Amino acid sequence: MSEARIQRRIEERIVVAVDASPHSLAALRAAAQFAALIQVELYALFVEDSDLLRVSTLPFWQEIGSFSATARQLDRQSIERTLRARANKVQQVLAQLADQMQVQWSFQVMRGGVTDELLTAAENAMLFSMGRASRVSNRALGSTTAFIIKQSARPVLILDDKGQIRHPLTLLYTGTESAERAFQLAIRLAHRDHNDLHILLWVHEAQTNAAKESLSKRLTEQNIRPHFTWVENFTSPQLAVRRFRYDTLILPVEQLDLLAELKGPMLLVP
Amino acid sequence: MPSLKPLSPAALFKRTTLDGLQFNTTAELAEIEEFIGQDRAIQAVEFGIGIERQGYNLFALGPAGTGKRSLVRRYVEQRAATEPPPSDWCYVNNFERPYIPNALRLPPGMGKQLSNDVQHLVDDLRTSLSTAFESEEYQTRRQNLEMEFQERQQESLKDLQEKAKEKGLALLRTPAGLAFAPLKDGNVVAPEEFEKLPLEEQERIKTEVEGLQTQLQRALYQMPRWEREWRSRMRDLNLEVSGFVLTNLVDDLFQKYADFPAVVAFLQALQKDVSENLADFLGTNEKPENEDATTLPDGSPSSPTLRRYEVNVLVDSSNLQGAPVIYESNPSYLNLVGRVEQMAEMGALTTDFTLIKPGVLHRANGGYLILDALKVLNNPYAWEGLKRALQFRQIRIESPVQMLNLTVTISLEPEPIPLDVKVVLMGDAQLYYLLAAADPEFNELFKVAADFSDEMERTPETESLYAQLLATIAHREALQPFDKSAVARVIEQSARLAQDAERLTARLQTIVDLMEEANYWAEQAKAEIVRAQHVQQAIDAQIYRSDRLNERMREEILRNTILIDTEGEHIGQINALSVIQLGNVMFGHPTRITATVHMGEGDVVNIEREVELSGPLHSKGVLILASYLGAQYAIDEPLSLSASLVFEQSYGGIDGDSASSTELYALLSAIAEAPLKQSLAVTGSVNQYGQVQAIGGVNEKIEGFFDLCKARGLTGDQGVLIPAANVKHLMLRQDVVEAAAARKFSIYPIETIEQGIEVLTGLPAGTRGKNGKYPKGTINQRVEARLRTFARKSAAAGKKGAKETA
Repeated sequence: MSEARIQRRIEERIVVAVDASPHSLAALRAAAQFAALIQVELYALFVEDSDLLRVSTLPFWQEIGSFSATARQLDRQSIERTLRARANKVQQVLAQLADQMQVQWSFQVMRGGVTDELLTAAENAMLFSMGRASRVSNRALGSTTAFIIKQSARPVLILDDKGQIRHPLTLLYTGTESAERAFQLAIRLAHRDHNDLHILLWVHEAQTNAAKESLSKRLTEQNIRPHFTWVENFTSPQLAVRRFRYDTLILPVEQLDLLAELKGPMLLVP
Repeated sequence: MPSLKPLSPAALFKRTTLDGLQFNTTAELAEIEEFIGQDRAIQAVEFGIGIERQGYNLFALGPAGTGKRSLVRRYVEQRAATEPPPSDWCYVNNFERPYIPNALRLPPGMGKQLSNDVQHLVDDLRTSLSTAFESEEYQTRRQNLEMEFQERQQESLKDLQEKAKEKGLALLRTPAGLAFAPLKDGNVVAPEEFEKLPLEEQERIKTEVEGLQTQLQRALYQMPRWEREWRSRMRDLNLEVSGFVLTNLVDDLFQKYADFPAVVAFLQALQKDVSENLADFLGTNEKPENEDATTLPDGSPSSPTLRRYEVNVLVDSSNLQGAPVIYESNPSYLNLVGRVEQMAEMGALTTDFTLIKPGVLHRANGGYLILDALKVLNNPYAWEGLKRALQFRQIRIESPVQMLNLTVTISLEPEPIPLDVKVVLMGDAQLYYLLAAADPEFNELFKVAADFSDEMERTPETESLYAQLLATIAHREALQPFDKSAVARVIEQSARLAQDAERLTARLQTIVDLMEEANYWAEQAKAEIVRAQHVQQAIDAQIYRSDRLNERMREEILRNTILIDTEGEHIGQINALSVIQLGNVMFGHPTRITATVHMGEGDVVNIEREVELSGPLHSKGVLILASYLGAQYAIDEPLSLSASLVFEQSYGGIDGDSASSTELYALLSAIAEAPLKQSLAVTGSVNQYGQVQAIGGVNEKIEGFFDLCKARGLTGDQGVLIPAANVKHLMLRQDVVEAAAARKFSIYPIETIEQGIEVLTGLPAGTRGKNGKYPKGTINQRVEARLRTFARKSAAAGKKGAKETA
């Protein structure tokens, strides 16, 4: 496959990591919304952890329940059965969603190291979507998710179990290179959307007007109506987000820390 | 020839001259209070509304059209204007027991104020709480707590991960939990490799794994406890932040309403409830972290959850200048005591204290409530509801179903509101006496009866007053001025409506109607002043509009379908006069009565009674006849007579005793075999002594016979015998008066049967001489002789019968 074809294929699909957890199913729904919006393929990847399968045949091997804290024996067959059931469930949800939203879709189950497989998949997508953590009760960013965000060269969409995409989208613009890329992506998504875009402008005071002017001009050319908010008017971007109830946030990856403080869908752009 | 003279034309109609009142038209007359001739009722109303004791409610009784409502309203409003406006009443949520909303009593106008204050408080709370929870201080502290919790969670696992790593083990995520696995060169050891390890090493790994598993279990056990602890600390933080906001905002209200303990208690309960339900005030993004697991709805302005902080102002007296006076035209149970409405929500009916709606008892509380008694009684449960409220002096809002204990469904039971109201019921006398007799509670609750008269005395003074009243009505109803003749004609008609030349009707509505109609005819004639002819035209038109049945019946007499003679003589046959009333229309109608006699045992057979067409009063009248005959003629001998009396061509029931004298004349004629003049008609009741007594509807009866005679042609012999006691009631039509003046029609005032029989037969009645006997040829002599003949024959027949039996 030529480089150009590979690149085109990358640009024409959204990959979503699924493990049947509520967070990952929310990520699947959000990815399907975006895929329908910009008319690209939705590719869902279910990774069976090869380490897990390998050790499951050890004689003393036991699983400690994360909620009940009880120990129970697990054999390889039961793990495989559980993983198969989850993959089936995900596939059903995916098929249903894709049918509702008229999206082209594919589903793949892979066996290997979870982080490696997901990172590889993320690199082959225009946008990678995944859950905030694999456990519902976990408010913190999961270790795998944090790793992917840091390592991926592609935008990563993060959702918790209650998250869903709401319009218009909000862009946190800081003037950095990744913020510029985030702006480009925001244009692409807003252009196909309701032609409205909220912009939280967070640049040096001296650059505010220039940035606003420049962004306005570029957005107007794309027939997108910008709505600006100055972060400086608030103590922090998270307060501005809360005040205006901005829900779906596109932000440069260096603002990763906001993930810990805000909820709702976030699209981190490297 | 009879010695009794017919009445003079002046006695047939009492004219109104208004000599004492100088005016040309009503425009010149001063207006007066419309309530004349109702002194008794006015005094009762004044007393009833003045006395402030339990049970002293009023019942204004009297016929329709006597101005009860206007009078009651006028006096009640005058009194109410001098009284202070009543308290405001509000319902607020009972935060402890929401199904029993609390009632708050506040000075006039303060209910609305409290409602606005609380509404502003809730609005301010929404803003202030949002601001507080968005503040950097709160966010920082919340974040710290959250981080602390997360770190504690992560640390415990990280610690285990470190320990595992030191021992050559890895912590793996499994489908439903965590597990340890041995590592080699950073990778998980495959089972076949593990088996290649020395047994001691395998055993060591196994022991290490078991140890770490125990530690992991311990760490996981801790997590829910940490989470609880974290939630508790978050709750404390939220209370601290919200408490500050709440105290700041509510303090002002505490000070403002410090004099009202119930309001203070409500504000305290509200404050507590707000602090326990912060999520209702905050948007999704702003909810404090510990609320986010709950399913409470978003606190938008229209959020139903915030309705519980509203103040439902049931009674707002802010715009009242005095005590309220309420007239309710539809006094249904719910309109009286109020109701708890329901609304459909997700397919189910729900309610809360904001849906409590006031009844008229609430609105009239502290004032006066005027109701139509019949309407109250016609509305199911309304009477019971009204009585209960008055008895217990409180308004308890219950649905009829609740009141009858027919349901156990959970609903609201609003706290009852103390009731202090004066109720004025209006109805006719019959209804009043029925309630007084049938409902013992009625007498306890409606102790004052304002008895409205339907007539007043007719004197020159009252006529003058009446004229001024008519002027007032003309002005109020924007009628053209009535000249003196028109006013006089209206007053004369008023007397006619009162059925008494010495009385005037107090049913003013009828007079208003007449004046309006006269005004119409004047307008039709393009006259700027209403004159007597227009009033007469209105009266004639009224009669014509309702006279169809009367005319029809007269036609049937003229066509001899109904047999009534108006000339000639007949034995035992006489013209009686009856009155037919259909709605508001009354007309006189002649009826033939016949009597036959034969030997018998002293009984007078009332044929109508035998076929059950006779009412009790008529039967009584006929029984009196037998007594009269016995007392008059058969003192020393048994009354050996049987007589039959019939109302000919009568196919409906007959009642009243106004034909009893007529029947007696027919009977005497039959016994004495003396013919009666058919040119005369008779009305009047009679007592055992032969005295003729007054009857009702005398004018209509005379006019009824006059119309028939007139249709056949007045002969000069025709006329009517009326009780002398009825002369004062005569207000006859002008054409009757004119015929009497021309001696073409005569009205005879009769005091005794003797007078009447003389007029009817042209024979003297006769009085007993010193020998105890009636003079020969007199009616009485002929009657007595015939009765003695019957007695002798009867006695002879009795002896013969006895011998035959022996």
